Amino acid sequence: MTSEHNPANQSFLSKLCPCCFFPEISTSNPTKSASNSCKNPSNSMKDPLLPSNENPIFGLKPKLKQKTRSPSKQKQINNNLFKKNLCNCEFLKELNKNNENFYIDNTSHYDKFLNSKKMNPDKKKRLSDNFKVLNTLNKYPKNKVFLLKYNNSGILCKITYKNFKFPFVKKKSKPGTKSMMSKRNSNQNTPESHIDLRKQSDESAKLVEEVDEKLNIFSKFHQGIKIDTDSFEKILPEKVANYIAKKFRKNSLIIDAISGVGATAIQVFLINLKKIKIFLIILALVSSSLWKDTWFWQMK
Amino acid sequence: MVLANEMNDKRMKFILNNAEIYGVNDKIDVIRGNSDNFRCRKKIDAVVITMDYENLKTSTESFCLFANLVPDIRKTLENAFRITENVVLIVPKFVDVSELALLFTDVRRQGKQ
Repeated sequence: MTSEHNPANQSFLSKLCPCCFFPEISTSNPTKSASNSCKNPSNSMKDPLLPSNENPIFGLKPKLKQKTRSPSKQKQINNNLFKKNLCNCEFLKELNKNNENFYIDNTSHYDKFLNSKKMNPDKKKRLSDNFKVLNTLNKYPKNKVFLLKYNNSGILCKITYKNFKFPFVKKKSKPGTKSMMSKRNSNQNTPESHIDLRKQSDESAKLVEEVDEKLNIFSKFHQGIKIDTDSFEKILPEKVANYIAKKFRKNSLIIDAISGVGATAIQVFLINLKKIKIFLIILALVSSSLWKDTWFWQMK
Repeated sequence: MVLANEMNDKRMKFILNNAEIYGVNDKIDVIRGNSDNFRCRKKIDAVVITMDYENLKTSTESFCLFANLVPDIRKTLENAFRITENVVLIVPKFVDVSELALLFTDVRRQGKQ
């Protein structure tokens, strides 16, 4: 015999209160609902010290209405959550003890490119023309570790300014100097023989400059180093390659993925490599004409 | 030890020539391969990537990492992160920093998956 078929059990179950499963006390009005009929001390007598059902920790959570939040509010909430999670990270605490605002919001106007993986390269170029990339480096803090954020995920960054002293630097002509005067005179009407001479001098000066610029790339350029005409502006200068090579450990195996003429590959081995482990380094290089200022972004 | 990866035959000869002048000819190996699929059996400590950029001087006002760099920067980075965690990427000065954040987060996610 099972307990379901036992009439004694059935009668007992029917007497239990449906809300608290205490034995029900008999009432004079049988038409009352089950919730009202409950006269147990725990339900009827609400002690303020006892945990109530409204408290989400002890009791059941009350059903909240789904609120429609504006996108700006939602962004704020996400930012706060992101910041809380970051603050728990001990590594960041050590780095920035005094600075509370170490993370930076990132603009999401490059979302188009995420969705445009299968786009034609011509279309991509057209889109890229629309984006105006300004000097955004001034926004970010220098010599500080900060977090660059993008859609609830980010990367640790550190921007340090490094000015490499190259052997050859282009000098800007000041007003009143010879070069400026020669340009002014060239506009005036002069006999043909004089113009030819000036042209020749300008061309020769340019040639000398080009040769000197190559010394920035390779210090032993005159000893027979070969360079492509196309790859002249793309080669990493020797001093910058030196700087990178210092960061690697001793006897480490390194791949130069797109070696070109081999400027970095040579420099990496020339230097006695130090015991510094890096995670990520991003270098910002300038074109050959603007080698004066070079930015170095180190990411750890 | 340095492994120099290059596709162009002419440049491969230039690497060896330039290494001889600096006296490092014995310790540089030249590999012929694409930047998207370079691999090595040995354990590699770091990968250096210097991208070729198109129209660098003219496109200072509107430069985009994903459009102007050749070959595709995303694929090369993905391949590099498969091999090691130490990657050196060299980019022009006027690259927007927000683009870099996008690139690295995207590449890292795909690597984890």
